[in-house]
Amino acid sequence: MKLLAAIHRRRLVALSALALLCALAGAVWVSERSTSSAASRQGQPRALGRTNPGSMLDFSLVMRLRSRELSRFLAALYDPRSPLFHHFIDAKTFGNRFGVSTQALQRVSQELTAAGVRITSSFPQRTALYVRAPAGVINHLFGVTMMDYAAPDGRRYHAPAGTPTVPGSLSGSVSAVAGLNGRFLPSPADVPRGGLGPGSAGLAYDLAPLYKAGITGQGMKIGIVSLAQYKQSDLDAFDQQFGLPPLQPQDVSPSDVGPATDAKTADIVEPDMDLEIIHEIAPQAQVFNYNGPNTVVGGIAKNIAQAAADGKVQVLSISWGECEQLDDPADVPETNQAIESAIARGISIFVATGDSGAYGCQRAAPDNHQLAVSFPASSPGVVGVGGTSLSVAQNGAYSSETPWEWPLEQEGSGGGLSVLFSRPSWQRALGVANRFSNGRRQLPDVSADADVNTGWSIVAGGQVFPEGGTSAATPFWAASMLLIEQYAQRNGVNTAAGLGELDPMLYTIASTPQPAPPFHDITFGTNRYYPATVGWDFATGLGSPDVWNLAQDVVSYLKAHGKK
Amino acid sequence: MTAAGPPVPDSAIVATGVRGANIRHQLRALTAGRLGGSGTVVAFIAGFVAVIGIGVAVVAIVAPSTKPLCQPYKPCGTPPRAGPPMINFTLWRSPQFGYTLEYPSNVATVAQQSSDGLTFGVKLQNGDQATIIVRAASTSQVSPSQGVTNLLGNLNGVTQIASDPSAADQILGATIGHRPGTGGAYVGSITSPQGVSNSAGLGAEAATDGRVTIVAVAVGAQSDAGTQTELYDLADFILESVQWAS
Repeated sequence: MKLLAAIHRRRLVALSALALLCALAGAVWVSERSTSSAASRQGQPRALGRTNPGSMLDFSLVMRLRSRELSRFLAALYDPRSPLFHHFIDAKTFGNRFGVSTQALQRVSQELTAAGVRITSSFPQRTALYVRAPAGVINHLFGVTMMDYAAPDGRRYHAPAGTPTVPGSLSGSVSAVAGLNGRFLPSPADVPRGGLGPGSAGLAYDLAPLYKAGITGQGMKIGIVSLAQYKQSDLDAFDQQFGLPPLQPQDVSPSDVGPATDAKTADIVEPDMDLEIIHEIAPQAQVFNYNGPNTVVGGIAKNIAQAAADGKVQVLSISWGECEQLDDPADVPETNQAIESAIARGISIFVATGDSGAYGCQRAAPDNHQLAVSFPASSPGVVGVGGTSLSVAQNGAYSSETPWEWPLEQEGSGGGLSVLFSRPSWQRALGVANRFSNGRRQLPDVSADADVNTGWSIVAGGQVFPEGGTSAATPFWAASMLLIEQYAQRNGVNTAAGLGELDPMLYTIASTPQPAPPFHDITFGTNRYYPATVGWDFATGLGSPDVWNLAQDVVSYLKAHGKK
Repeated sequence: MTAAGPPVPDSAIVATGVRGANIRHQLRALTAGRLGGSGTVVAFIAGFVAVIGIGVAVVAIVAPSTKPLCQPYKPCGTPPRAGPPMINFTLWRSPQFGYTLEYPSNVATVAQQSSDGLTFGVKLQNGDQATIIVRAASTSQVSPSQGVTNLLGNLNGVTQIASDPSAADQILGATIGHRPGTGGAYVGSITSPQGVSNSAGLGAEAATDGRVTIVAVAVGAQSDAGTQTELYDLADFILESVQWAS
């Protein structure tokens, strides 16, 4: 009875307040629910003490590359005037040409074994060694003290007190120790829920002429990098919902870490969405799911390295990342070297720029108000994909777009200036050099619909609902580019080995006269800080694609530069 | 010298009917002949003009028409006819100020409306209720920051309004209808007529197009982060759907 009385009293409170609302302008509805504490968006990790010296920890050693030679090679690989233009090399050749020598590798191996460190895996491109050792050995060998922590969400992780130092005897071959700090793990570039009604991407972004020409991904191969497990029943339901052919992704996991383990309903949304959007855009393409657990060593770098070693896919879509300032500095070169080996092989990579707008660290640390961008989106080897809000006409055709910005929810199109990378020479187009430019890499490169209210209809957890985030825009771009490559093949350009790093081509197309306008220029709105302007801008990059027009321009570009 | 201009001497050679001889020799002979009499010169000029004219005509007919290239970020060709915009939600227009906004009427119900704005009642998924208020005024009378102050000062049923001290809750990049403005996060108490108080979270934003100031506040109980996310998602949608009259 007491309970019923309490409920009744709370209802009376609510009804009284409602009456007040109706009587007075600007009144508020009140909650029936009493609260004990205010909701908080922030929290700090709690130190739990030193890591047990016997605990086995996985981490990685970043191998030195002949960086000057590699830079020269990559520049030539993407310079249309160079005889090396698009002469891609496989992972083994990459390792032989730019990695440490076989003898040096053997010496490192012997020394690690003697110190009690076991090599668990490596790839032929020799960008990193994946290793396992007791915490006590790590402490001794690299001059740190491994500590255990509890994250605000209860997750336990370890991190070193102090910066790991590579011993002198290894330093000729090993440049850094990565994967020891588990505080900030990559997060999916958001999957906000809600909204009403799906967008119609094919119509809005002008894919229909490609479909009409029979370009739907036949014979093409595309991959995603995923740190959570998708649900096959969701993919099946999606196919049924939209009348698509069945999709069964081919799962690939780095052998020593195994597949992604995260299968909570909230987490399967990301891989479900990535796979479904790719399948929706390129329904006949073969899809690979490069996946591993969301740990510092099982994550993005290793899966990119695996894709580079395999050489199976032409395009890779990555909807995961972390703001540059929160990334462990040792982890960045490992991922970046994996990216370099992938683009040397001809794999094109699209990465979501994140969903916190200009404040790239805010998602992981809500009280962090730094202007920041996300990595690996900021890597010069990838196409960073930002987000928009799309408006279509009643017939479904493109109408207009603004940058995606939700200031109250602290979300928006990731974009800004990198602190890790200089502005590459190819990043030139109308608007690139602007009042915010400081010589650093600028993001995003391109954009597409990321607003859940105008976004993508998906199935996850057995439910159909609209979805968004730059992690939705990214697989859309990746799959669209796959179709463009197929279209190029159809028009006599050999893209079987892929097109590799796309930015030099996209920026050239954006900044020179073309057969058809390739991008929708987005000129009104902000990403919570940087305004959208004519040409390139920090909110939406070069703009969103008119895919059919871009396909024609890509073919024209490749033919003009002797690609056959 | 082998040729003065690409096709002309060859044509002239054919026209003179001389065949099977050394070209160099023929050219010399032709040149000598041209210099020898005005009739030959006239005939040569006439032939020259005729050949050029025919060539131009043939090129104009046979050559494919080249479409002019599109210049970067400039309008190009005939813009496609997109037709009227798709409106998925309920559209409301301010009779006084002309701006429009959209709202999902199955989630947000209009509790009150006036010529300058609306008050929405919002029932959240956990049963909590919340409010989103949108108002407008002439910018010459009310600036965006004044608008926020005025709206917060006139909220009935919410007391003890103060700036939210948590850095994590701050509103960065406030906009309405994609126009940058001002905004802030606040806390307060929702007090019922029976005197029962709940702590409240408020997010306020305001912007102007130079003529009209639009100001908005979203108010809900601070029960958990999920309810605030739900309320702010909806408020963001409504406020970014604003189409300014100017």
